[in-house]
Amino acid sequence: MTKQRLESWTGVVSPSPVETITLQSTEENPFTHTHASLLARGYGSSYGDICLPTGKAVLCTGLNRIRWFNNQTGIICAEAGVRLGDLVAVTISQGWTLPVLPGTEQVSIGGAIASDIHGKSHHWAGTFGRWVRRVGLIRSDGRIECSPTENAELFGATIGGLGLTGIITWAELQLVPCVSPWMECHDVPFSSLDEYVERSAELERSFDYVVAWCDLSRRGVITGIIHASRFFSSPSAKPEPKRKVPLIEHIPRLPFRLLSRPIVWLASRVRHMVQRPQRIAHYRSVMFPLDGLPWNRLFGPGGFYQLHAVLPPAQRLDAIAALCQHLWQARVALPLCVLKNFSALRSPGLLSFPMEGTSIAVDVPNTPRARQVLETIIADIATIGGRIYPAKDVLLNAEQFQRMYPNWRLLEHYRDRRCSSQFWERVTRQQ
Amino acid sequence: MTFSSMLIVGATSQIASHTAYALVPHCRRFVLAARNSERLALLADDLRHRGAEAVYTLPYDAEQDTDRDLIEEACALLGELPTVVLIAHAVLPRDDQAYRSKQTTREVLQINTSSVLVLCATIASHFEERGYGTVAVISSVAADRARRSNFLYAATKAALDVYLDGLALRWQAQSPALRVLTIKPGFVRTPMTAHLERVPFSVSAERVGRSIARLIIHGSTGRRYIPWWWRPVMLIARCLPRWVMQRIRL
Ligand SMILES: Cc1cc2nc3c(=O)[nH]c(=O)nc-3n(C[C@H](O)[C@H](O)[C@H](O)COP(=O)(O)OP(=O)(O)OC[C@H]3O[C@@H](n4cnc5c(N)ncnc54)[C@H](O)[C@@H]3O)c2cc1C
Ligand SMILES: NC(=O)c1ccc[n+]([C@@H]2O[C@H](COP(=O)([O-])OP(=O)(O)OC[C@H]3O[C@@H](n4cnc5c(N)ncnc54)[C@H](OP(=O)(O)O)[C@@H]3O)[C@@H](O)[C@H]2O)c1
Repeated sequence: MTKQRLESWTGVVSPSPVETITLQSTEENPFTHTHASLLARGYGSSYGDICLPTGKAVLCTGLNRIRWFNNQTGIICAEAGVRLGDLVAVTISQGWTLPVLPGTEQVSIGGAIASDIHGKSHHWAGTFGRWVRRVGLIRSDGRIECSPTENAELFGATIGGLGLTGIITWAELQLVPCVSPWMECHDVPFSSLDEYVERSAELERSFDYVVAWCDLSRRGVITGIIHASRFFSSPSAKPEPKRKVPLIEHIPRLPFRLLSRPIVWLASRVRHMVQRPQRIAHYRSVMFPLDGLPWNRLFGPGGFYQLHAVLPPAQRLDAIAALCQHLWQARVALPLCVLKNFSALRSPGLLSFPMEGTSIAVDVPNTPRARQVLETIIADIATIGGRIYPAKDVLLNAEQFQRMYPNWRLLEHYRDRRCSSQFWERVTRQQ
Repeated sequence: MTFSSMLIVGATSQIASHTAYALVPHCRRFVLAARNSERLALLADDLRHRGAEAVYTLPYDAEQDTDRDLIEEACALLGELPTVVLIAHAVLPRDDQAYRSKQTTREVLQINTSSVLVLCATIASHFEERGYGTVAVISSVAADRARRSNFLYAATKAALDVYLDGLALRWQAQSPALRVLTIKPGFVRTPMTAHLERVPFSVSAERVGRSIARLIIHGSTGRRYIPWWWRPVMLIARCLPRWVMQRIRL
């Protein structure tokens, strides 16, 4: 068994080479083969070190079978390595979809539960964890099943539990009906944050999926486009677009930063120009717009960070404006900034990231100056009661994390002693 | 194209199961043969949920079941001969010293070569009688040029290539509906290669599975490389003089 360095999607690498145990069947118990600490791994689509083990990694992508699907009730039971994109591809033809889908289809069910992911549907669906009916876990002391009524505390800890409560081997999920794979999409521009808040609240009343792209390419100006969509039963559907699966698994990074400021400026101008008020599109191109691009490779050798925060409703406008001011000071290209509103719907998860407010995600190229700026921003967010998304984080310190997630001690209590991650070591270290 | 039925031998292999997933919209009924009956049952259920009309399973161990006629058994389950047979099972010895062991050599040869050729023999007799059918066998780019590691595996696959080339020539003369497809994937991330270093330009089993499905649907024949660029790469590799191979530490 050779060891290799594992990476996150953004290229954060494990400090030393690690051994990977590959699971092929939910009957295998990796804890019996070794005494090392273990961490489950899906598709490595997280941006930070939550997917990097301190001991060995347990690769779950081989657990990719659907166990059963009841197309009357929309309840599906699948193994934890099934990719969300694959699951929906199977169920959508039978009239069902996952209520919560992230921005990429390369996320496993296990990873979706462990990060309690959210999507463009938070205003009615909340987080992924709300749709999980039951999960099967392997812990170092054996197998256990949990649900909101059975082993409920462990269930709560596992939702958003960052893989620390054991290895999820399967889950039972509730799907929602959907009329076709086609979506009706509206683009609504906004020219200030106030306008964004007003328009997005309005759109959320009639559309199931709402997200905004925010243009930060001009210093001092925040504009953008809100994308609102809903499933649509179109009688004359176009042929389904082909699924894009990357040809090469490990595309090398570009040797230079393609996403430079002039290019991003130009691309943003084009994007404003080509917006169409209304169109019909396939759900894959609406839900997973970046999946065709090697996005994470375009930032050059230094890679990038994603700042993903949620800001409480009262301070959100000032906080977002301040955050953008800081980012502009870093003098780097900001090719992607996404705004979403989170509703007050509560997740069963102990360490769930979403809370009522507005979430902002910005890709920031990795330069020393940008890093400094991000550290200031994160400190500010911690003081105003905002939160940073663990799945995207590399910069939080222990104090900030513990302030944002006071429930961390509870998760620490339910954590399997034989599970840990680089992230957890970092944010729970005693000062 | 859609076809009515298919037999997959070594169905639980990662590449074969992804091929089956990709073929669900094109093939109505599957017979899956594999060694691990537990995983076989799970895969069968999975395919049913993905929309396959009927899925049957056959336990099959390439080391022991030398006298069985799998095609006959599949035929009994389906009520007809399968249109396509895909053979995917193989072993890659982990130990670099495997070539010095009589036991391992015999075992690898039995699983990778003998069992496959025996299957091909029964397929040939059944298909020739019926007049149509596709046999697709997963070989490897490794068979094109020996390296200092894994040459035992390479040799077992090279035998398949030569045999299948010959069978293809023979069938071509008989009927265009008799097809032989030799699939030659490059480095794929699967349990078989999990113990090896990560190789640049490796591809996922899913990607390979889809490509195989496409080749089968389009009725392709002959040696096919996946991804395609392995063809020119291996062409060059085959032309390299020995002293160059000596220097390249692969
Ligand atoms: C382009 C892109 C867009 C994204 N958009 C969104 C978005 O819109 N909303 C959102 O919420 N997130 C989003 N994400 C983040 C992503 O959803 C999460 O990081 C998710 O956890 C990744 O899942 P994974 O299967 O790749 O798991 P990994 O990245 O491999 O692991 C993530 C965590 O899950 C745990 N885990 C994985 N499998 C298991 C298992 N079987 N049992 C127990 N624990 C397990 C790991 O231990 C780790 O802590 C996006 C990511 C990308 C790359
Ligand atoms: N991975 C690569 O890089 C690569 C490259 C080129 C070609 N290939 C070829 O692709 C094919 C599929 O391999 P894979 O990569 O998908 O690996 P895999 O998932 O490990 O598949 C190998 C399969 O062979 C089966 N097998 C082994 N011994 C057997 C026996 N005695 N009887 C019956 N079945 C047996 C295994 O069954 P169990 O599940 O019961 O163990 C397993 O399902 C193989 O022919 C391989 O040579 C692979």
